[in-house]
Amino acid sequence: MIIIEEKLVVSSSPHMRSVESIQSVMTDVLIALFPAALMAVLLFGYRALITMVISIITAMLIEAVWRRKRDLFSDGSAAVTGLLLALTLPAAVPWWLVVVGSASAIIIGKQVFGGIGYNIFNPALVGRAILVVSWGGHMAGDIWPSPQPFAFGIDVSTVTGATALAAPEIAMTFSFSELFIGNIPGSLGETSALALLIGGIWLVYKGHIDYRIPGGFIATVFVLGAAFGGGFYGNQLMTGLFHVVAGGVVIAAIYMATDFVTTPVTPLGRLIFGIGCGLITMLIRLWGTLPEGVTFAILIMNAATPIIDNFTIPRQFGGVNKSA
Amino acid sequence: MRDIFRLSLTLVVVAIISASLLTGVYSVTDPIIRERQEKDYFQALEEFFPAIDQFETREIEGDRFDLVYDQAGEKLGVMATVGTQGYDGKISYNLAVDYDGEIIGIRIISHSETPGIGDVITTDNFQEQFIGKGFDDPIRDGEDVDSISGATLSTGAMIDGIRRTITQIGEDILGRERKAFDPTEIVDGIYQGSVEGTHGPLTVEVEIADGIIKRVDVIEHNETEAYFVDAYPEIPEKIVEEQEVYVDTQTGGTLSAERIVAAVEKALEGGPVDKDDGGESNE
Amino acid sequence: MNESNVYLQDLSRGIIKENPVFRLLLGMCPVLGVTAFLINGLGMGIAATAVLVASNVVISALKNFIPNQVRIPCFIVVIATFVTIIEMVLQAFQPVLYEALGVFVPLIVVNCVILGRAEAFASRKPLFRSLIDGIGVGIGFTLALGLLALVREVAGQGTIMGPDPDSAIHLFGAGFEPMGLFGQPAGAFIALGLLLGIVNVLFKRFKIQ
Repeated sequence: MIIIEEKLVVSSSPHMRSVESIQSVMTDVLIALFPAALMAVLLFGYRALITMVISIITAMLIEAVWRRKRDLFSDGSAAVTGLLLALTLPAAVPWWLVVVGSASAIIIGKQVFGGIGYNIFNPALVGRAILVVSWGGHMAGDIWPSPQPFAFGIDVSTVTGATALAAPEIAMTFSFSELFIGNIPGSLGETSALALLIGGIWLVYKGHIDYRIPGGFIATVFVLGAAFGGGFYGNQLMTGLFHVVAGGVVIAAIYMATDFVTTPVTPLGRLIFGIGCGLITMLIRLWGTLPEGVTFAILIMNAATPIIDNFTIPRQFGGVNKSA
Repeated sequence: MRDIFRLSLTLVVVAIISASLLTGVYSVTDPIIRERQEKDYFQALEEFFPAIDQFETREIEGDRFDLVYDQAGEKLGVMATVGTQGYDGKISYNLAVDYDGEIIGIRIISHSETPGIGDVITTDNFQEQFIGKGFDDPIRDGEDVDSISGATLSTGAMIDGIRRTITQIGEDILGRERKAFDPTEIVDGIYQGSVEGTHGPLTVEVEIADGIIKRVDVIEHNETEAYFVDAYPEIPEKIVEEQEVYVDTQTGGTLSAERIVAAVEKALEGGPVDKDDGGESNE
Repeated sequence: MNESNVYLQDLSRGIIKENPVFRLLLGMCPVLGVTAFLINGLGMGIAATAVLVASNVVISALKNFIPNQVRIPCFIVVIATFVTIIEMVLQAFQPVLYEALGVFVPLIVVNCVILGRAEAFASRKPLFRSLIDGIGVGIGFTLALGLLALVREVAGQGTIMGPDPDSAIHLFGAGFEPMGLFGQPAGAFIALGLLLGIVNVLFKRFKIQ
């Protein structure tokens, strides 16, 4: 009788293990979002901070209650969803709207599908879409007359005004550097392309996001913006850049279109996904009735993800032809 | 063969019974339905024209216009029953106008606008801004009346529809003349005027030389291309050809056509602009 | 199984076990289309129930006369007749409801619930049982519409018994900003989905097969 000294563990796949967990990735995403969140507070004042805190806490609470777990932070995905949602809201939204949005994002966007990994649509964008459809007035940005604690010394009432995309007249009142740094009207986290890009570079460096999706997305927006955007700053290239930095393209391309669960898994599929997002965004912006289209662009492409995956499956080498 | 005969017979019998049943019910309910609709209409008439005694009905292009008289036989005004294309189907409504051409009231008969959004057209809030507006008012979004944000399409359709109706009442029923533009009395020069269009301003440039409208160009527009092509260059050509600002705007793109005419009207109301200046255009 | 038990089963089956909306997912078009307000939802349910009961009875009575080959056209004619009658009656006596239900009244003709009951039940079973079945399914349909409409009206408008301002009761005061989503068709899908989920959970909990 042979006695096996060492016990062998038999387990099913996956056999490759990584130190990365959902929690570590989500923590990295939160770190990457920090510059944008900081800019939001600097630009819009303490109301931005309150909105973000309410959103994150609601998301984590709802998730913990739904999953009947005491661990609030858990895998961190609820916190990311809550923060992302907050960053897509205008500065002056009432608190109950943030709560409803955050709860809808977690419940309708994620948990009814079975939780993280099973959701079809990006939860934060589901939350935002529900808010836009339900309270369009608030989501267009209320005027918020407030003292301006950190707000770069600019008039906050203009900061919470209409987005630069609403009309060319409004767009022309901002210089390009203002658009890039972010002291312009808009949602909390979308205005500062600079802060978002810093976070994006960190995410690419850590290997959490594939450059193809934001690359395809932003490039498509740039090309279409330059071709059909309407000639801002008297220059087609600057018009293309305007369409990239104004509105929510940068935050959406880097943080929302790259969601692991709701985007294609193949490299080619990711490129197609990014280009599709850019295409739909520009279709809505230039010819639709809404000023901004990134939310619905990504949601539509989320829905198309299984089809894209299906058509971009890499060819298998060395297999046996089934029909043979 | 017998089988087919039997099948057909069954169907025929079923159809005959069904048809006779329906005829019976129809003959009972139809008078009630008509009576109710008439009653609602008379109620509205009485509400808008308390002194009403009798009225005379005229039909113009399928729309009903009732001229209302008081007991002394004096004309009180006109009640129009018209329809306009809303965001989601036809909006039909009554427009009551007094003899001076001023709007007394609006009554939406039926519509299928989005509940909670487009149905603001039924609210007093939206309708009140038209009261007292008349034949000589522009009745244009952003000028003397406002569309409601979030429901721009529904409210904009109502504004355009009301303007068209009151113009029709003024011209066809009350026999008013529009203030005429006589090109020979206008100083030579280039004129520019713009009105609010579908997605942004529509600007025209009009050139008058030797008392003749030489040319009309649309230099900026944000209209829906598919409709705009039916209005341009047809309408400017008509204006130049007829030497008349108020040409017939019934085209495939009536809204755009009306806007071109309105912009020309505005251009000629203002003074000539210097061609080299070009400051008004957003190029 | 005794007589009354059969009838009781026929009645309850349509309400609970084979609820046309929550269990069979039949006739979804009016379910999603007219449930923005409770009154409209209930009105639609009652109108459909009237057609359902009448067509069930007539089809059951005629089942021996109608040849099998042409039964579907005959059913459709019977149903369409009753729908048109209902439409005219509504227009004459309930004009407000008629306006609110709009195109969905004539569309009762193609409501799968009604043709489904005619084909699956009334054309095979005796007259009285068909009557009971029609009433049961009708109640189930009306209840489901009412429930969905209640959820949508409270969340989407903040009222019950609207849209008529005279009867509307504002539940949350004037400052309440309703969740517009539920007033719109997209919200109907979401509300129905959530309700279906809850119903499934309840059925599992109480082991109703």
